[in-house]
Amino acid sequence: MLEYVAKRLLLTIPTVVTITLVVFLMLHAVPGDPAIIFAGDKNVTPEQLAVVRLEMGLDRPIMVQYIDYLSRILVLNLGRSLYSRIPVTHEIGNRVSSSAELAVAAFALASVLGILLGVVSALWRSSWVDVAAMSFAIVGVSMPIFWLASMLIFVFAIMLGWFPVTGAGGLNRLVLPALALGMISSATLARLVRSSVLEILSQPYVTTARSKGLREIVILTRHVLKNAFIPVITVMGLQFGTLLSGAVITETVFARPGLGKLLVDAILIKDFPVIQAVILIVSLIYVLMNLLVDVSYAFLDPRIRFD
Amino acid sequence: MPSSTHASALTEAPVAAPVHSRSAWRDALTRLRRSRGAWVGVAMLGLIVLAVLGAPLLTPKDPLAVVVEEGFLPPGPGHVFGTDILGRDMLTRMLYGGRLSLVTGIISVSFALVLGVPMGVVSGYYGGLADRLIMRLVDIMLTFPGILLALVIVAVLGPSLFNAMIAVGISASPTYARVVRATTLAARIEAYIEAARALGCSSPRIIVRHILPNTVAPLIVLGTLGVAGAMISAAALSFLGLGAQPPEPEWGALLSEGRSYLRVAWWMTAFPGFAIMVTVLAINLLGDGLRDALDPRLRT
Repeated sequence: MLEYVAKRLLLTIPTVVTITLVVFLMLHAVPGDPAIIFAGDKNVTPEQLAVVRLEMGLDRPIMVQYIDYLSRILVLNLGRSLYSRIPVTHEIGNRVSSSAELAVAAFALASVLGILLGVVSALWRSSWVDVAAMSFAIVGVSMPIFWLASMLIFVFAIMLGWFPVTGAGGLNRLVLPALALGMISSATLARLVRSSVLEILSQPYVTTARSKGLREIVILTRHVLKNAFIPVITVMGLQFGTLLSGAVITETVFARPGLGKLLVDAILIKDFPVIQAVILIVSLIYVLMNLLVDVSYAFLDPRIRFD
Repeated sequence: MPSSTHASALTEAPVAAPVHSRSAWRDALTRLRRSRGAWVGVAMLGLIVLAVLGAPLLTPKDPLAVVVEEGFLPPGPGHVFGTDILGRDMLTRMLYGGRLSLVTGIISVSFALVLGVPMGVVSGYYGGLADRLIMRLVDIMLTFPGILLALVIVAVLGPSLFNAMIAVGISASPTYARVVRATTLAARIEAYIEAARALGCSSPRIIVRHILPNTVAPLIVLGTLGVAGAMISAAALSFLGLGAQPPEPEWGALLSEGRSYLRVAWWMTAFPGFAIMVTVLAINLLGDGLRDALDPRLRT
C-alpha cells in the first residue's frame, strides 16, 4: 500500500510541473507583447515598456523566466494584482475559505442526494420511483447552473425573502449557492450510481448471497454497495473538478467573494498575475483531489495496488 | 474441424423464422426506434429547430428593434415572453438567439472533432513516440477541470463568441482523442486490417477506409451529447461576459442581461434559461437513446 502511494505521489510531479508550465506560458500565448499587459494596456511610450520589461524580467530568455517563475512559486510569491497592487497570495488567502465552504457544502449535498437517488432507483428499477429519480437526473444534467442559481434567487430570496440575495458569510448565505451547485452535480452522480448498482446486482456473487439466505439489507450493504462505490468514488473525484468550475459560475451569480469570482473578474480586466495564480491554485487542488481519490480507490480495491 | 461442427449445430437448431441479413446499422436503428426517450428528444429538437429557423414567420418583430416606451412589459398578449429594458420583444430575441446558441454548440463540437479525431487516430494507429506525446498532451489538458481550460483559453484569446467556441472545442477535444484512440487500438489488431496491409494498402488508406468507420458510432454518440455540453459551456461563458457580447441575443448572454433586472423583470432571466434547458434536455435524450442503440459499452 505504502509503495503504491509513493509511486502515485511520484507520478504527480510531472503533472504539477506541466501545470506550472502551462500557466507560465499563458502570458506569452496572449497575442502581442506581455509588457503591454503589465503596463495595463494603456497608451504607453516605448520607454515605459522598456522599464516594465526590465522590472518584470521579460527581457531575459524564456527558460530563465520560467525557472525564475518556479522559484517564486516555491516561496509562495505569486506577484501582485496589476490593478489593486495587492499581493495575489493575499487576495487568494482572503477568499479561499468562502470557496472551500461552498465546495464542501455542495459536495456533501451532491453526494447524499446523488447516492440516495441512484441506489433507490436501482433497487426499485422501472418503478415510479426510478422513473421520477431518473427524470430528475436528466433534467438536472441539462440545466444550466447559472439559470438554476438565478431562479433560486428569484423564488427564495426575492419573492419569499427567506435568504439574502448575495454575499458571503453565515449559513444563511450558503444555502442557495450550495443548493444550486450541489443539485447539478447530484444529477450526474445519481445516473452513475444507478447503473453501477444495477451492474453489481446482476453479478453471480449476489445470487450466491441471496441463495445463502442472507437478508437483503446485508446483501445490499456488504456485497452491493461496497463494490458499486468503487467507480462512484472516481466520479466523485471528477465531480469535485466540475464543482470547482461550477463554483466559478455560482460565485458570480451570488456575488460571493470566492476564488471563482476573483478569476472571472480578473479575466474581464486582463489582470494576468491574478488569472495565473488562481488557475494554478485551483488546478493544484484538483490534482491533489485526484491523488486522494486514487489512493482511496486502492484502499478499497486491492486489485489496483498489485497492478 | 470445429467450425463445421459449429455450423451443423446451427442448422440442426430449431430456427423458426428465416434469418434475414441485417447490418449493424439497421439493428441500431431498430433499437433507436424503440427508445421512447430518443423519440421525445427528436420531437422536441425538431420543434426547436423549426421555431428558430422559422423565426421571421413566427414573429414579425425585429430582435434588435428598440421601443423604449415598451420597456419591461411582463409576459402577456403582444409580448408572450415580455420585453427587456429597451422594449425589445423577448420571444423574438430568443428565437433569433436560438440560432446562435444551436450553431455555437455544433461549431464547438466540430472544433473538438477536428482536433480530437486526428490526435486519437494517430496515437492509436502509430503508437510509440507519437502516442506518448499526444497522450501526454491530452493528460495535460485534462488536468484543468471542467470549464477552467476554456476560461484559460478565453483569457488568452480575449472574450468573444467565436473565441468561446474555440475554447469550448479545444477543451472538449481530449475526450474525443481518447475514445478514438481506444477504438483505433481495438480495430488495429483485427484480421481485416492485416488483410488490407497484406494487399498492399497504404497506412493513410487503411486509416480512412478501415479504421475511421469504426469510430463513427461512438463519435455520433459522444458528438450528440457533446453538443448539449458545449451549448451549456458556451452559454456559461457568455453568461460570465466572456462569450457573446451585447446586443447578440445568444441565450446565455440574454440571461446575463436579465440577471441585473431579476427583481423587476424575472421573465428576462427565466425564459432564455428555460430555452437552454429544454434544448439541452432534448439533445441529451436523443444522445442517451443513440448511446443505448449504438454503443452499449459507453453506458454510464
